[in-house]
Amino acid sequence: MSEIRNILIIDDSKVSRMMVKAIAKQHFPDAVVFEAGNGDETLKLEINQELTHIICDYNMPGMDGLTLCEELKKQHPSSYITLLTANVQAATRNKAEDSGIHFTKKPVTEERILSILSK
Amino acid sequence: MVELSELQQDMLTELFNIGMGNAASALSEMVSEAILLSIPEVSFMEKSELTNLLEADSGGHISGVSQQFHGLILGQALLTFPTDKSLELVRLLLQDTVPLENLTEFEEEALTEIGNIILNAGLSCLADIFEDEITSDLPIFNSGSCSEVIEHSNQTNSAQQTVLYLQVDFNIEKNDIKGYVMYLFDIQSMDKLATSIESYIEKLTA
Repeated sequence: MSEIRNILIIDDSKVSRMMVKAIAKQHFPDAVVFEAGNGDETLKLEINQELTHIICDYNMPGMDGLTLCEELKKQHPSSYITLLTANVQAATRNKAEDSGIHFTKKPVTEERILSILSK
Repeated sequence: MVELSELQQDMLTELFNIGMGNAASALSEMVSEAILLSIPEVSFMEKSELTNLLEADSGGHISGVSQQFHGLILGQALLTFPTDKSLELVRLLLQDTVPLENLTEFEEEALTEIGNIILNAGLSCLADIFEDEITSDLPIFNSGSCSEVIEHSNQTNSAQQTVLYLQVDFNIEKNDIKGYVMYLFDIQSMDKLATSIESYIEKLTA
C-alpha cells in the first residue's frame, strides 16, 4: 500500500474521533482525514478521492456501524474497513467478519490504530 | 418473581468478575494506570434502598454514565464517580490530545466514552459466555445527586421498584479516583437469565 492515507473516521463520540485522528496525524502527517458523527452525515460527505481506510464505530444514533460499513464497502471496495467498537461481543465480531469488515475493540490506543493504518 | 438460587447468584458474580476484569483492563489501557477492583456484590434490593446506599457511600454529587440494555437480559448499566474527580479522569484519558485549558469542553464527551467502553466490556462478557447477544442503547451522561443520576438515567423501567443489583468498585489508586460500576437487572427478565445460568452450569458439570 502506498504511503498516502485517506482516512474516514465515523464515531458519534467526538473524543474518540479526536484520538484516532491525533494518532493518525502523528504517524502519517500527510494523511487526509474525513470525519462524521453518524451514518447520515457519512453518506452526505462529498469525498472525491479514494479512501485507504475507513474506521467506524458500531453503536451510533440512526444506522448502526455495521450496516453503514456494508454500504461503504459497496462505495469504496478497495478501502480497508474496520469496525472499532466497545461492543466486543463475539456475535458482533462474527457479523462484521462475515461481511468482510475488520474488527478492532475499543478503547482507542496507538497500537490498535497503527495496526489498522499499517494495512 | 424468579429469584436466583445461591449457586446461580454465585455463578453470576463469578461471570461479572470476569467481565469487570475486562472492563478494568480497558480502563487501564485508557488511563495508562493500574486499576484495583473489588469483588462484585450481588443483591436484590428496592430502588430507594439503592439510592440511600449510594448517597451514604459517595456523600454527594456524582457523575454517571448509563446505558439501557436488552436482548439476553433487560436492564440498566451505570458507571458513577465523584464529580470532583471527573476532570482528573478526563485528563488521564486525553493526556496531550487536548490542551489542559480546553479539557472542560470535552469532559462530558470523554466521560461518556469511558462509560460506553467499561459498561460494554461487562455486558459483552456475559453475552459471550451465554452464547447470546445483548444490545445496548447509546450512553447517557448525568450529573447530580445519587437519586437524580439514578432516576435520570433510568428511562425505560421507571415503574420497576426492585432490581437485581450488581456492583463493583474500581480504584485508580495512584490518582485516588474511585468509582462504581452497577448493573440493575429488570426483574421481569430474570427467568431468562436464570435459565441461561442453569444451562451454563449444566454444561460445565456435564
